[in-house]
Amino acid sequence: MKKITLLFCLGLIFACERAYDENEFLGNSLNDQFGELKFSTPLSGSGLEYNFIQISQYNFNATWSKNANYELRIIGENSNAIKSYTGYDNSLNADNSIWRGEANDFPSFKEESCQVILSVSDLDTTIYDTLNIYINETKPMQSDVYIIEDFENIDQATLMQNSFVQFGANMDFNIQNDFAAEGQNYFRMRGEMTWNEWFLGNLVLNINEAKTLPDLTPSTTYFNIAVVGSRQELFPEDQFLEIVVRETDGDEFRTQIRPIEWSSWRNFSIPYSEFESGSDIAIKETNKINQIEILCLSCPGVVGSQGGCVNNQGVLVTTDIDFISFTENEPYQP
Amino acid sequence: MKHLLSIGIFLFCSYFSIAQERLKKVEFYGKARTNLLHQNLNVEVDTTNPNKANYGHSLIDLGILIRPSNSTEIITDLRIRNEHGGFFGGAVTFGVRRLTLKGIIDDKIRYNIGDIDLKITPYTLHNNSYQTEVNEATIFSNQRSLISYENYFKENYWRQQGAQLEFALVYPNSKLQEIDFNIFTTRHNTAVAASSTPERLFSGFSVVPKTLLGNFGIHTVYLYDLKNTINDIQLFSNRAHTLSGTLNKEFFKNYNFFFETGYSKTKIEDLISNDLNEIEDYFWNIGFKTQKFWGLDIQLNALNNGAYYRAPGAQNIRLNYLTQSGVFNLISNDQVQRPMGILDYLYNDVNYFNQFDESLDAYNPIFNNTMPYGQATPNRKGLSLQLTKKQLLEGLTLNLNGHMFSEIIGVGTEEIKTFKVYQSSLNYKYNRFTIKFGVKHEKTKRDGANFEKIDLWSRQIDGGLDIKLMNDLDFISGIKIHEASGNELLLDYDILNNPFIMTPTFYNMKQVLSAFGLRLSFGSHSTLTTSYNIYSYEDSNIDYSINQFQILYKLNF
Repeated sequence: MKKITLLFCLGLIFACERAYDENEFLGNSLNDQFGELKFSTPLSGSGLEYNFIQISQYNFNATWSKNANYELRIIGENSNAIKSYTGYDNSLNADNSIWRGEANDFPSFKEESCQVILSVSDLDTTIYDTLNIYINETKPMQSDVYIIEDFENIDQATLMQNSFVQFGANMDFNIQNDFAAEGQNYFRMRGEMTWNEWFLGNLVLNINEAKTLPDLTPSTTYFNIAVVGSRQELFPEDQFLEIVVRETDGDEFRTQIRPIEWSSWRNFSIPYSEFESGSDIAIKETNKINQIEILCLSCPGVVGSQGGCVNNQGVLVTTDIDFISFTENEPYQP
Repeated sequence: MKHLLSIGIFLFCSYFSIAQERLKKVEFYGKARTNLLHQNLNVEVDTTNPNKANYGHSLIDLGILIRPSNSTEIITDLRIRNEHGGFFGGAVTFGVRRLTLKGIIDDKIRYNIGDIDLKITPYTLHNNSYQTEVNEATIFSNQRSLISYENYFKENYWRQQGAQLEFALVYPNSKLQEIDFNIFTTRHNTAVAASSTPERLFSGFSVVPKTLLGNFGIHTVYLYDLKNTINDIQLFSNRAHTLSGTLNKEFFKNYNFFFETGYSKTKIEDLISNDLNEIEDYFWNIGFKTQKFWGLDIQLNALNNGAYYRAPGAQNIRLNYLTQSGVFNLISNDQVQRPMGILDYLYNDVNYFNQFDESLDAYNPIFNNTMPYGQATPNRKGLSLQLTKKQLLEGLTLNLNGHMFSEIIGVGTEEIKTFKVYQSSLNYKYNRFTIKFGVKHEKTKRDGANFEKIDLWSRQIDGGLDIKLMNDLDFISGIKIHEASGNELLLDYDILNNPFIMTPTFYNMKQVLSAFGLRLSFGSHSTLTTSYNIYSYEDSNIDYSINQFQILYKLNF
């Protein structure tokens, strides 16, 4: 009996089942390090036609043989809008490729054909797969967007009635309609200071009663603006925008986008809570915002009491802007 | 407890109780040694590096045993070492190799403080043996004894610094004969603020009830960082608890059963990110010994060591395979780092670990791929069979071992490796001749895709012939052959011993070390050995050879 009891006790101990996961192994995957990279299932979408009015989100699917760095790019053939996804995985699925019709940045997608390109890379190989889709209906404007100015339905004189342009060379502070970030028009802020002065000009937008924001939480309220420098990639040293938000009680809050050194539209979404004030007692109250001033500044090419950048001589300052808005809870999605 | 008749002292008590009157207050003992080596390197196309090395040393270890009282001993070993060629003592070093206070409290409890040697079980605290020998010739084992002595490798004990208590409860005329207790705490490493290393301690205890049926034991070891000894960033701890037993033949007729099973938990606490990483796992090992069949000693055992079972004191390797000798470090005109081999591991200045740490050290799969970290190697399961026949002929002992193991879960893949080891050794003594032979063949295999496939074999052969020419003069000789071919992945482990870097490595190598010499004995205490070694190494990248002449004088007093 003793023997049986002892054997039973030992049997119990030795029969314990470990809690290893199914397919568990130690260390990094050898397949990920040394395995051949190839597609297991080709790139596919939720369909070939995308209607973001009817269905709010789509996703793409593909699997490949190992965990690797991937990039999925959706490129609008007319708009040149781009939406991309990057990561390290062995598949595209609903968790990592949900698309609600938005672009990474301006410009936004239009009703157009799009090419979808998936590239997957390991240390020495890159594989590709492509797909063509068509957008029937673009995404609707996200909720809680408060457009301050999109330069579509305003004339130059009205726009500039409170604004100021310095004396300088080739000063161009006008509405343009060649390559807008959104819609047809945008506002050009361009020129060259021929004397020792940083300030080229400004655009002052009064917010009338119809456009007054509700009382929002500053930390979840975003100021959005599309900005681009010279399309020829000739960027003067230290050109930038200063944005001033004024409230009816006299408080004003500032931020800068500095420097501006890119040649295609970029959307900036800055939480209102990150705007700074010179006063410690100023309180941000979105329902009191009544004016937004956008100042175009740059290091002057003529050196003087305000400093200067010799290399900026003869280089045009360009800080074009478009689609100025506030959004609630999330940044604006082009 | 009513049957408790007396409390006995453990193991060495008699040492103190017998003839205490005759013991001297102070005793001296020691060892002296002179070792002279001359090496000559031969390698094709090398006009830039030196090809001769001549070095050696003399040393004396003076042991002093002081008995302040009948129940207390102070033991210290002082070392004076002089590198040959040192100018007027410029190369002389002095040191203390050991300082221990030991004694008995009230004739019941034995204590050791200072340098202490500790061993519990192969799954808790165990200094695993060398991997570079099978049944080594005398000419090599003489040299290996120097390595063991220098690194405090005494059997499978670890030299630690701390305090230990040992005592026993004795139950005469009872089925439960006695219970042995062993409790210790040692200082494993000191706090180093610069490297954010906290003070680390190693504690443990072992309780072993001895009964008429057999011996059973509960063992616990605990390696842990002490909080607040520096500005802590990370704290490590590992606990291993095991239960062991041996059942004597009265329990199972003609069979001695033995087993050990246990559990470990390892924790890394990151105090910056507030993360706690834990791994835990268990093992079991069970087997039996019998002499029932054909006069053979047969031992069969099965084991299953969990992939996350960790016991740093038992999962270790003596030789630091990453070490590089300073002798002929670079060879050939291409300034290639000389691959280390069995000559370096025996004679040159390579590093042996005389302390264990929390991580699994780099191992060399061409020496031991099956159980590189000893019997407690994690992530292994399988069977071992050992057959020993003594007096097969008069003076002839033959031993055959076979091991079949596999991983429990794969490394870097779901495919698992399988390991097969065949080992045999033979000792034969006939008149003036003593022959030693050992061979170990190991094979590792893993199937799968090309990048998963592993196919590696290695073979170690040891041979030795000693001839007693005269009463005090022996001819001694030996050969070591080591070959390997195939591929393996060399692993680098992260802090939780998870292999995070795997480097594909290909082997096609052979090394041979042969030696012969004369050993002159001066009584039973001292020997003078002169030997000549011929060593050759070849792999797919480089070939070289080294000839060596050694004079080794050893004296014990």
